[in-house]
Amino acid sequence: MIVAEQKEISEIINMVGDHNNILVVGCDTCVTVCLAGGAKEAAILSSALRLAYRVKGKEITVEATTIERQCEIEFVDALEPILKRKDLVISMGCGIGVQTIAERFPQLLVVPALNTKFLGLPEKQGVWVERCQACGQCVLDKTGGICPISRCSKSLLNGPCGGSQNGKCEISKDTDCGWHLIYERLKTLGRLESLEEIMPVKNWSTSRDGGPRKVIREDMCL
Amino acid sequence: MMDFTPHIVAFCCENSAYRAVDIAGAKQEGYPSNIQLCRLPCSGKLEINHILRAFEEGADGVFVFACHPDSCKFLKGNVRASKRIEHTASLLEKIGLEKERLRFFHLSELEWAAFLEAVRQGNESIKSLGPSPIKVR
Amino acid sequence: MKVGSRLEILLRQGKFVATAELGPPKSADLELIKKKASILRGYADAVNITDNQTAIVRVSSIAAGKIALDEGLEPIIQMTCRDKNRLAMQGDVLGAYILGLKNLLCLSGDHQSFGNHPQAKNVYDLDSIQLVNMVRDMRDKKVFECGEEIKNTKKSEILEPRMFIGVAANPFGDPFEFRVVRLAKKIKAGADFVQTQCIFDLPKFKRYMEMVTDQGLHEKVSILAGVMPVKSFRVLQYMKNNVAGMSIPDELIRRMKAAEDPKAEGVKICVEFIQQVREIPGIHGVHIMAVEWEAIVPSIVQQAGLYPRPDVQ
Repeated sequence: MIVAEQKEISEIINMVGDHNNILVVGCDTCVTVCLAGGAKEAAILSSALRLAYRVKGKEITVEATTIERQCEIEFVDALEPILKRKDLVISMGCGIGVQTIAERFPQLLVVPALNTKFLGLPEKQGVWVERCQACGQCVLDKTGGICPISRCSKSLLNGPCGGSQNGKCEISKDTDCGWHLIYERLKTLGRLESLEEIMPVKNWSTSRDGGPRKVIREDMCL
Repeated sequence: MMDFTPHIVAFCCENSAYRAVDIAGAKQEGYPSNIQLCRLPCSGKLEINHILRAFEEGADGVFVFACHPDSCKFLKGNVRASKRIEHTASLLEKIGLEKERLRFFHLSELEWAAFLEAVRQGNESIKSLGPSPIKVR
Repeated sequence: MKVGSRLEILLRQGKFVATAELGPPKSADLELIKKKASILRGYADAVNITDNQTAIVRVSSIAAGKIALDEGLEPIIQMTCRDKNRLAMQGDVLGAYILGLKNLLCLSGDHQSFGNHPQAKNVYDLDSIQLVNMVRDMRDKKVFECGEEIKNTKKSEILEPRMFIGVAANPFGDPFEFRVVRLAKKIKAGADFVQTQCIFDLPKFKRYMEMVTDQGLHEKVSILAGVMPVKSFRVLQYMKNNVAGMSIPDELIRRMKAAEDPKAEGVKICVEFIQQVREIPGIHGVHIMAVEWEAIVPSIVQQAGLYPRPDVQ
């Protein structure tokens, strides 16, 4: 899923500025699961914003609503009736959610309440970790199902660098060395010899480096 | 310092503080009438949103009473409450409300005297802070 | 002979070589480069010119390398995968070569989080093994990474950059058993010489070299053992606790701590290491990493019995 984290409240207050009729929009999908922008967080943020302005002696209207998925126009459509007279929409979706709402309602100012962090999973309650960088050319078949692009700090393709020690990365003792994990996994699988092959230079054009990406499925197009 | 009667919402776990209040009542020991009790099945049930709502509705202070560490009926409800309180306190500070308006206590059901003392002291500390700046005008 | 650099010639002649390191300055201090070069002149067969080492901005390795060359040194240009993509790398290889620089050390590079610009975007378009392969193909296949021939127009002649290619090897990184596999990959990719991470743990290094010689890797590549003189036990302690991929025995820390003159003891230990690694089968030279202590290199070289350095005609 997409993992996000709420921005500092002071940053959100700055974005609100002089607006006084605000809709906070939560999203029921990824950001609900990662506890960043679901219905509960939308209610908390709305309340916090009302309080913050009242402390300054100003009443603003902040309503909260949550839609199924901010990343699909069909669901975003549902916002239309409640957007009347709103002068600011604060999206608690990921970066995609913010943009989908902005695209659907181009006359409205839409701002993000979250920082979209990465594609990952909850490791345990309250801890999320990265697993994929959407490089567009998956190599997991060669690396025992552990991604060197997202889990090696240098996205190396031919084994751990000299900074790997005791299974940890040189950047921090809290960060696993991705290549150490790959090594151990391949050892378990009895496929260590595959590491002897040189993995060729990666084609990064399928990653963000190739410019904005698009997937077209002719068979699915209407 | 203004002389005023603060409006305080006290969220009480029904397994400890809420019973302590009963005992205090049976002993004809009253608690200040400006304290509005709110019964919780466990302090862990308390959401950040409930606290914010209390302030929005005009509370000058919010007290949360949880069981002692290691004696939560639901094992870790009080631990979760404590983390949530900490988080909420920092949020309050960031939006311009004194974090001292939110207070957290551990208490067992037998400590009715301690409850009264906590409420009395808390009441005084909120008084010294003055009315909440977000009082409904 | 692949490129005919002094380093290559000496290694081909079977000489026990000594290389040193020159860290370019953190400012546009031309005189400092010249000063460091003059200290090292005559005491090292070749000198590594570091590339934004520990991810701290410094004079570029190629520019400093050209100054060092003019000052009479034989530079080994370091190039990390952290700061450049394949376009910049190949452009720099061409540029270094036309400036007369003939040795290139291919490195992954320390992560930028260590340096003075931790918010920087890193590159890692290639990894160090792919970089070796690319530079080798530029030299031997006379093609760029994309496969195009290295020439200006269809009719013009091919003028390829010919680099003597070096790599680093860390025998003390983990997983230990993979370290030799990784070295073999670097050789397969085209490494001509290897400089190891500085050695403080001799028994572990010997185990590593046994695995290396068992596989006959020492016959395919020249291995220079890294040594580092330290000024005090605190340096060792710091490296033990903070630098990933180092193995530093406590005994060594105790010895440095007990020393009356720690600097002299550091030099003595370094000289002992040089003499000991020289006895290990498969070692073709030493790489003396006197980080920010270039001035000590001449006395280490002398005390280790490595002076004078051989001439190359």
